[in-house]
Amino acid sequence: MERISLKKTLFPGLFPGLFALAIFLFFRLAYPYHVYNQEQFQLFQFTWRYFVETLAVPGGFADWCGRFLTQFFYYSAAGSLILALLIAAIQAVTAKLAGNLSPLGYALTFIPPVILLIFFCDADAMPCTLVAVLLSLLCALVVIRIRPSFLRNCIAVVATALLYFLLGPLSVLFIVACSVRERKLLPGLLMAAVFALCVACLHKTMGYPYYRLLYGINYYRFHHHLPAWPWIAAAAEGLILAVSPMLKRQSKAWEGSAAFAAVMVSGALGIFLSYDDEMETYLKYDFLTRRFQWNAILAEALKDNPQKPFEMASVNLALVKTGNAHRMFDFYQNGPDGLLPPYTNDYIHPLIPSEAYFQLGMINSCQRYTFEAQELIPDFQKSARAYKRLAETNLVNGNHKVAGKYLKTLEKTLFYRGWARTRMALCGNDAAVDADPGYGYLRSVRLHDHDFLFNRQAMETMLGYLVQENPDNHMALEYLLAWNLLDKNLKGFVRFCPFEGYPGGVPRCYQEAFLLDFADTAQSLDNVPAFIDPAVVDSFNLFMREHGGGTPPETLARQFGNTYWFYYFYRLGV
Amino acid sequence: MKKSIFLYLPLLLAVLACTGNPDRFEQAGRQPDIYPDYIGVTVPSTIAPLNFDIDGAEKVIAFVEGADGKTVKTSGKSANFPVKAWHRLLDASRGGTVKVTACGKFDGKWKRFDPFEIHVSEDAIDFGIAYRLIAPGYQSFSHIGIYERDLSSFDEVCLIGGRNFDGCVNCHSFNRTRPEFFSLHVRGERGATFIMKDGKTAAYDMKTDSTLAACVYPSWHPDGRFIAYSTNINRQGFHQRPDKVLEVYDLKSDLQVYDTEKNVLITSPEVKVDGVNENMPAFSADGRAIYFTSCTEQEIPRNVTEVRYNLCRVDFNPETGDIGHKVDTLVFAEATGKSVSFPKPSYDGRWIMYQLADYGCFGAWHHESDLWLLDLQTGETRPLDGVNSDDAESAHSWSSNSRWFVFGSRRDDGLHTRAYICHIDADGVCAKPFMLPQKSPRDYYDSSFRSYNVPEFVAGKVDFNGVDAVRLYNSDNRTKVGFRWSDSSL
Repeated sequence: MERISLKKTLFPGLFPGLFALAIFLFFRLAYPYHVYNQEQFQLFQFTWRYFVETLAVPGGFADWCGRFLTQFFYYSAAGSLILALLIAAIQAVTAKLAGNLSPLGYALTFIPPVILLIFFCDADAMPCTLVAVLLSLLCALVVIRIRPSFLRNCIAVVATALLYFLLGPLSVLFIVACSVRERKLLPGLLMAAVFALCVACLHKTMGYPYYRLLYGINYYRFHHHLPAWPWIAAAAEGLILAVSPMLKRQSKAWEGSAAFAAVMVSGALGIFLSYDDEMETYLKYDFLTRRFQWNAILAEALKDNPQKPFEMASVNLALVKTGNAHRMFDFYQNGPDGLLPPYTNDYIHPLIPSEAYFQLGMINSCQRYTFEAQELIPDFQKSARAYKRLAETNLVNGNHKVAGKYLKTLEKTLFYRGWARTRMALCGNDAAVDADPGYGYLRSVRLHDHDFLFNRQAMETMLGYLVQENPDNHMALEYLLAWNLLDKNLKGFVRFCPFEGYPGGVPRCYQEAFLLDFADTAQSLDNVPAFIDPAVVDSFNLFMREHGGGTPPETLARQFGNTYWFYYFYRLGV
Repeated sequence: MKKSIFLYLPLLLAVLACTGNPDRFEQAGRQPDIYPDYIGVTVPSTIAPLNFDIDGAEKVIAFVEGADGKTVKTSGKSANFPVKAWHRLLDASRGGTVKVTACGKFDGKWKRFDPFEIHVSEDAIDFGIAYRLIAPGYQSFSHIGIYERDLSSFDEVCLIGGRNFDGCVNCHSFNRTRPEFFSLHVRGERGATFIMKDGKTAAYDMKTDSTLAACVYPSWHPDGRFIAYSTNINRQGFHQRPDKVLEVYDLKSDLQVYDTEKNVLITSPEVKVDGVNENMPAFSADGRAIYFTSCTEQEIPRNVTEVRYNLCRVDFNPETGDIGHKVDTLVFAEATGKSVSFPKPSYDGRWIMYQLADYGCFGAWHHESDLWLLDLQTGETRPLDGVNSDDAESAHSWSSNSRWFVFGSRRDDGLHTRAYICHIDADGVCAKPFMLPQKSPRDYYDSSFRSYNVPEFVAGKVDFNGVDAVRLYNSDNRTKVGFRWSDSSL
């Protein structure tokens, strides 16, 4: 009756409920951007073709279900709830399969879901893993109720093959659960043989290497580096089911409570160690950039003080978009890479620079970065986000048929259908695209006359052409100036900066850069131009005295850390 | 008379179906706008059904009347003809035409369109085509593969590629459509050149100390012993103008011939000239010459628009594998401000088909790229008007009887290359080309974001074990090749 004291004295479902709530709160409050990120790199379509294509791979049904659920991760709360329910359901079904467990045994059923939770701290863990585990256990729950035993065993053997193809190798849990319940060797051996036969046949016919057929094709986004967590969870699950008959002897309530607490504490420790703070921060800036939440980016940057180039690219874009480019040295700048980062060969990082190129009017570069990122999604899925952007770049470039293809596909999705329909109204109608405030503007500021092959070493030239062809492209001018400043190219900066008549007066950091260049060539600072604030000259003199006098950078940073001079002499860069 | 009435009865019924009720069927007074555009095309009698959609139609009824008066009917969301009946009808119409009458339902009202014709050639076509399917992207690739398509049906088989394979497959080639001779270059960490011959497949490391890089663009010698390859160091550049996207260019390239019997690469100073890039070799029909493209090296990427290739020819000795000393220029495209790429001689020895663009060596990304035909008897060269479109035509290849060619074109949407097949008669007169048929063409092409890259005819099914090839690719098992200079006495 101790089990009742643990499970039923308060009310049934208390522990799974609390467990689910904790998982929900974890994803919703501590890991929301990982949840959003999952949805970004898939394109779930409500079409028969998509279903069949997804199903054609071992484990394809679990994958299709996982993708179906992942589309709701468009909302972090929904995604968190789905993950919480899936993980908690695995615990509940495990407990159900194990039968009347003692409090201690019941507490142990939380181990596999906790391990799976740790697995999901990884941005590349795929929800289909959870689906595969859950459906395997649920199928076992159904099959073990079939009578008579001969029929049950026949169905179990057939289901083994079917489940391998539908759910992948985690369907081995079905075999374990059925075998434990059967308590006979032969059916288990038969199912194991069928499982092995499936693996061998698929290796022979589809050419998958054994390691992928045994790990699971779709459980993890990459297939070169495979974390062990899903299989540690499966091993724990199998072990618990296997020893469940022994866990039915009575134990004391405190033993169960202590075991439950131990599992939770260990789980919390595992999550703490697996928590990818760096990725979560990056994904936050990526999310805010994607949603054009420029002020939120700046607010977060003031809290986080980001220092990585891709995060700084987001911050610098937000500064320019909000008309705060002159505040760029209020933040840690790490050279031109923090303005327009170089292309990286992965599926996540090219997306922030692609946004900057889009906003600048460098539509082809945006298209390239987006397309490449999508092609590099390791599990060959497509990205709704990339499709949206590619539809836009093609609309702006006047490639209406190509844009229409992307839009038609997006119309087959749940959350992008409305957006696609509004853009479809522009498709094939250049006048409508011109009249659209966003796309029309981009058409007006993109390059028309100059053509050249993208060369990051010649970024100054490329940005210069943008400004030259359309002097109203204020963002391009700000980027041109910022590029030269971050590149420590003072001559280039002075050549392009329109000091005279700068709207609202020349920003302080531009004055600082000008003074640095001026001091390099002029005999004295007595005849600085009128647009230089005398206070800036005084500050410059003070800085140079301290700098020349050997004041340590840490001390200098307190007073001059947000000046261009400090960046020029002490920060990274060229 | 009685007999002919019975023969024409199905057609009569068909026409009545469209015309019988004037309230139901309104005369459109024009031919339908169908997708793909099959109006007036010439097809082989064994081609798969030319299913089509009528633009904007909710429902379609279509009747095809053969030369013998028999008809095949289809109705539904699109015109989707039964395969067996279609083949019977075309077989009976060889050398003639079939007439297609289509009706479309628009906003609940039926319209009957004027009939159109499809010409059925007496010239046979090969079993199928093989091509690479790849997203028309930049540097990266994901879902990529070499596929084989049976032209008489809609069956497509993946020869190599898919999710179990990380390599980039490209530059596939068969020997004059013979599928038992197959060369395939695979890029990637474990890059290799696969050669299948006499039922055996081996993976080769084609880079030697004396040659530039791995083997890239292939051409089989007719007797199957030699394969001419270019070896290229190529790069990609990315345009900034809205009307251009990508540029593929060579920093350096040379020609070489691989002797499959002696496992040795052969080259000569004439096709490995400093300051000159030789590229895209193709053996002549008799195997006694190699056609190739050649250009003066330019400063890249600054002068990428100045890169212009000419069409050249050099002798080849099929007994020894030696390359001649005299290089002739057949098309001096440079003089006209144009550039030649992908020369492909017809197997009857009469023609060379090639691409002509404003500059560069990779016409697929050049909207202005067109197909041209050089008559080897007269030396006359001309564009294939009526075949070319406003967008890029590229990657053509001949059927084994040289009466058909398949080529890639971006005319469909401006980005994704689709395969088109065209009839060419003995005098070089081309019919209107037709797009590779699909079961549901609109659905298929709308949802396909991959290009048909380098479609090539195959005379039969390709007996290539992709699973074994992937295993071979993943192993370290590579055959090294030797090198020798061509005999200078040739």
